[in-house]
Amino acid sequence: MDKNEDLLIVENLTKHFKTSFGVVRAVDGINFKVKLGETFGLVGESGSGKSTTGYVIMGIYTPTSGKILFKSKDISMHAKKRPKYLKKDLAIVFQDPASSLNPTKTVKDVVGLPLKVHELVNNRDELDQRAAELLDAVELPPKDFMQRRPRDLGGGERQAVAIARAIATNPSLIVLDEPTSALDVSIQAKIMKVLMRLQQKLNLSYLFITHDLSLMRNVASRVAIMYLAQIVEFAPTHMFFQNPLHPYTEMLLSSVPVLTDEEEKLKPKEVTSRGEIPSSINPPPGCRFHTRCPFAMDICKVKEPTFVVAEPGHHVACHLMLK
Amino acid sequence: MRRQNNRVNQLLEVKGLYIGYKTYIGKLKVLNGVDFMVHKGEKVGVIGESGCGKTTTMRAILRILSTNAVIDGGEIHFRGNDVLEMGKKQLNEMRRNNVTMIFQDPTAALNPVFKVGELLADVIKYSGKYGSKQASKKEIHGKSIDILKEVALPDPERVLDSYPFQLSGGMRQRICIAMSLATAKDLLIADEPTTNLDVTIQDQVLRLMKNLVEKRNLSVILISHALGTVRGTVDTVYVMYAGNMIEAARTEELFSNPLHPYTQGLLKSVPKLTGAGFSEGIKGRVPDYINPPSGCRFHPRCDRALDICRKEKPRFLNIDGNNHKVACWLYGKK
Amino acid sequence: MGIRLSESIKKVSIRLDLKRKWYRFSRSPLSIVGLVIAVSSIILAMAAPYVAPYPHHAGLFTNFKEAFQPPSSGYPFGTDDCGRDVLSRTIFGFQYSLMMAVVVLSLVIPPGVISGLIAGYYRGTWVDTLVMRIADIFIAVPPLVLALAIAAVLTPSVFHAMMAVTLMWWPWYTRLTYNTASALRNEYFVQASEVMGANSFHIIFREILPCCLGPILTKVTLDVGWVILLGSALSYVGLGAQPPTPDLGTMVADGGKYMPDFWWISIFPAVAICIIILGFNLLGDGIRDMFVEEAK
Repeated sequence: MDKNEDLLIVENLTKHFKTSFGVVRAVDGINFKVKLGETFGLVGESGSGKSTTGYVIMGIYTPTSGKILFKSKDISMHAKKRPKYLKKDLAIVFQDPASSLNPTKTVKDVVGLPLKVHELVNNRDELDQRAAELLDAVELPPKDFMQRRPRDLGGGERQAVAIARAIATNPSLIVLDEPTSALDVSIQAKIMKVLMRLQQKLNLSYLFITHDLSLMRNVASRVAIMYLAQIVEFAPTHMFFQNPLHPYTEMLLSSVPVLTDEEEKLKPKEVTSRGEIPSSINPPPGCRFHTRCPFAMDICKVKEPTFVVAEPGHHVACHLMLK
Repeated sequence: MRRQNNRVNQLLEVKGLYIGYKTYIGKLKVLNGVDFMVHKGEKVGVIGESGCGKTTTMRAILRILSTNAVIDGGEIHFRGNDVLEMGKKQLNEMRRNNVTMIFQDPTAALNPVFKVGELLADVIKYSGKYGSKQASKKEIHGKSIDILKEVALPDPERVLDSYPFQLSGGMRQRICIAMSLATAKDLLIADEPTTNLDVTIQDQVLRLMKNLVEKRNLSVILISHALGTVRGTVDTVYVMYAGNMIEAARTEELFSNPLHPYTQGLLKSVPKLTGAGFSEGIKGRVPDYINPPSGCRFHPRCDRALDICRKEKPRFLNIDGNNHKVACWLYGKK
Repeated sequence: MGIRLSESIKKVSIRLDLKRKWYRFSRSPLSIVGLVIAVSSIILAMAAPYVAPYPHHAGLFTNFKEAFQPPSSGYPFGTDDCGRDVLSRTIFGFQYSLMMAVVVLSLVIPPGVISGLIAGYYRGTWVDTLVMRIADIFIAVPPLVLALAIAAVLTPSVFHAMMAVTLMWWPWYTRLTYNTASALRNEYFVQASEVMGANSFHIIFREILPCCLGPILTKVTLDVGWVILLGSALSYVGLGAQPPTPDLGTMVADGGKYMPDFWWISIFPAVAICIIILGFNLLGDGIRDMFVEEAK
C-alpha cells in the first residue's frame, strides 16, 4: 500500500438499534476516510454515535446499511463473518480498563491470546519471548508484569496491557475508544506518549475516539465532529481549532475546561452551551442541532444541511455556510 | 471583595488527619496528616489523582467512612466543634442542616424506585426548614417546584412526576444539586460532580453551581481530578498527593506559579488546546499504602529529591505572604 | 534464570490469590466452623469401616437380644429394632449420604453448566430460548412427584432416587451459569476476544467459564446439603435406599414408629442430617465470601 492510499473508507454508514423504546439511530449516514499512518479523530458527546462507529468498523455490530472498505476489501459485516486473516489487521482498545481484561487471566495470557489464535508463535518459549517484547513496547517491565492479574494493576497499567494485546498481531489500524478517559491525567500523558511512539515505530493508523478536545488537539491529524449520529464538521486539526465553523463545534470548544489564559483565548466566546442533548430515538427534524443552536433559522428546522467545502479539506454541514 | 481569611471566618478546619483502612494484607495508611481549611463563603477546590485520599477526607468530614476505616489521629473542626468527637444527635444535625454532599454518579445517588417528586419531598420534609412543624403537601410541592426552577430544569412539573431513569445524566445531577441546596446552610461538598457528564452539559452545570453558591453565600469544597474544571469555579485550590495536602494557593496563583514538583508535573501532563503535544507524565507509580515511602511520600518520583526528603515529612507551610502553602523541602527553611 | 524467576513470581501470585481468598473466607468464624464440619464429615465418611465400632452392623445383621438398648458405653447411640448399633449405622449413613451427593452432583454439573454457558453466550437467539425453556420444564416438576413417578414405573431403589434427583437438579446449574455468562457476554474482554478471531469454543470455555467458577463452587457446596436432604426425604418415604442399607433418612423413618420411647433410633440420625447440612451451608457461605470482588 502506498503512503497516500486510503486504509479505511466508510461510506454512508448507518446503524440503528431496535429497542423497546423505539429505534435508536446511533449512526445515520456518515462518510470518512482514514489514511495509512495517520490518526483520525472522532469527537462527540453522548448520543453522537462515535463509539458505535468504532464498534461497527471492528465488526462488533453489523451495519444497518452502508459500506466499510478496509484495504479495498468490503468488511461491512459482523466479525463472525469476516475472514480470519483480516482480524489480524484490525484491533481495538476499549474505554474501560477494568473490563477490558479477563480478571481470571494473567497478563501473559492476555497478550498471548492473539498470538495463539493467529498462530504467530510455534511453542511456549516463542510465546514467552514475544509476550515480553510486547510488554516492553508498552513500557511495562516483563519480569514484573507477566504473571500479574488485572486486579493487581492500576488503570494505566491495564490499558497498557490492552494496547500490548492490540499490537500483538501487527495490525494496520487500531480503533481507540476513549482509551484514556478513565485514567488520571498524569497516567494519560504516559499512555498517550506510548501510543505516539508505537505509531511511529510500527506505522500504525489510529481511529481515535474521544470527547476531550484538548486531547484531540494533540493527537489527531484530522478531526470529525459528530452530533446525534451525524458528522457535522471535519477538517485537518489546525484548521479545525483555528477556524471552527459549525455552531456545535463552537459550543463544544467553548465548554472545554482549560488551564491557561493562552488557551482561554483560543476558545470561541460567542457561543456558550445551552439546552439538552436530544434523544437518538426521535432526533429533531431538519438540522438536528437546531434545538440548541443560537443561530437557528427557519430552514434549519425543516431541511437537513448538506456538506459545504469551506476550505480545502474543511467540510461543514450547516445552512449558515450557504449565506 | 477581599475576604478575611482568619480564625473568625473559619468554617471547617482539618488538622493532622491520619486515616487508614484494614485489608487482607495489612493496613493501608492512606491519610498521612491532612491539613485543610475552608472559610465562610469560600470556594475551595481539591485536586488530586485517584487514590490520593480526597474522597476519604471528605467522608471523614461527614463521618461516612466505610467500616474498615480507622482514624489514627487528627481533628476536624466544623464551626468550632470537633466532628470526630460528636455524638450521633449532633452529627445528624450537622448532616441534615449544615453540610451536604453531592456525589460523582447521579444515577447511583438517586433511588430509582421513587419519583423525583417523592425524593424531593423527603429531603424537604426532613430538612431543618420546617423543624417539627408538619409541612403540608402543597407547601412541599411548591417548594419542590421552586428548587427545580432554581437549577434551570425545564418543565418542573413533568420532572417531579418522572423517575430518575427517565431523565438524562445532566438533569439527574441537577436534581442532586437541587436536593443539596434545599438543605445546605453552610457547606456543600461536591465530589467529582460533573465527571460523568458530557462536556457541554458539564459546563452548564458548573456555571449553575457557581451562581447558586454565590447567591446563597455557601462554602463549597469541589473535588476533581480534572484540573480545568476546578480552575473556572473556585477561589482556592488544594493539591493532594498520597494522603497529604502538598500545595494550596489562590487559583490563579497555583496555575500560573506551581511550586511543588508534583503540581508542576501534573499541570504539564494536561494536554493543551494550543497543541504542544504530550509530556512524559510523572515517572513512577502511586505509592503502596501498606508500606508508604518514608519522609515525603513523593520523593521516589521526584527529580529534585534531597536527602532530607527521604527522612522527614515536609511541613505544610505558608511560603510567602500570598497565602501560598507548600509541603516541600525545596521551599522550607529547615 | 528467567524461567525460574517467572515460576517463583507465579507461585507468589497464586499464593497471593489464595491468601486473599483465605482472608475473606476466614473473616467469618462460622465459615471456619462449616469447613471443620464438612471436612470431618468427609473424613468420617471415607474412614467409616475403620471408625465405626461395629461396621458389620451396617449390613445384614440382626441381634434381637440387644435390640432397643438405650445409649450406653457399649452402644453410644443405642441400638435399633434389629439390635444394630445406631452409632455405626449413622457413620455409615454419612458415607452413604455423601456418596449420593458426590454422584448426583457429578452427574448434574456438566450438563447444567455447559447448557448454561451456551445459552448465556448465545443470549437472545433461539439457542437461548430453547435451552432455557427446556430447563424451565424440568424445574417445574417437583422432585418428589418425579421420584414417585419413576418408582411407580421402576422399582424403588437408591439408583432410581438418584436418577430422579439428577433430572430435576441440573437446570438450577443452567440458570446459575446462564446468569453469569449472559452478564459477561457483553464485557469488553469477551468482545476483544471475538474481534481478534478467537473461536466460540475458546470464548465460552476459556474466557467465560473461569469467571463462573465462583458462583458454581458456592452452589455446589450448598447443594451437598440439599441433595442429602432430598435423598433422605426420598428414603424417608421409602423411595430411596432400601433396608438394610444404612441411609440416614431411612433410619429416621424406621425409628419414627418407636418415638418417643426409643427416641435414639430416630433422633441421632436426624441430628446427623442437620449437622451435615449446616456444615456445608456454612462452608458455602464462606466460599461465596471468597469470591466476592473487593471494592476499591
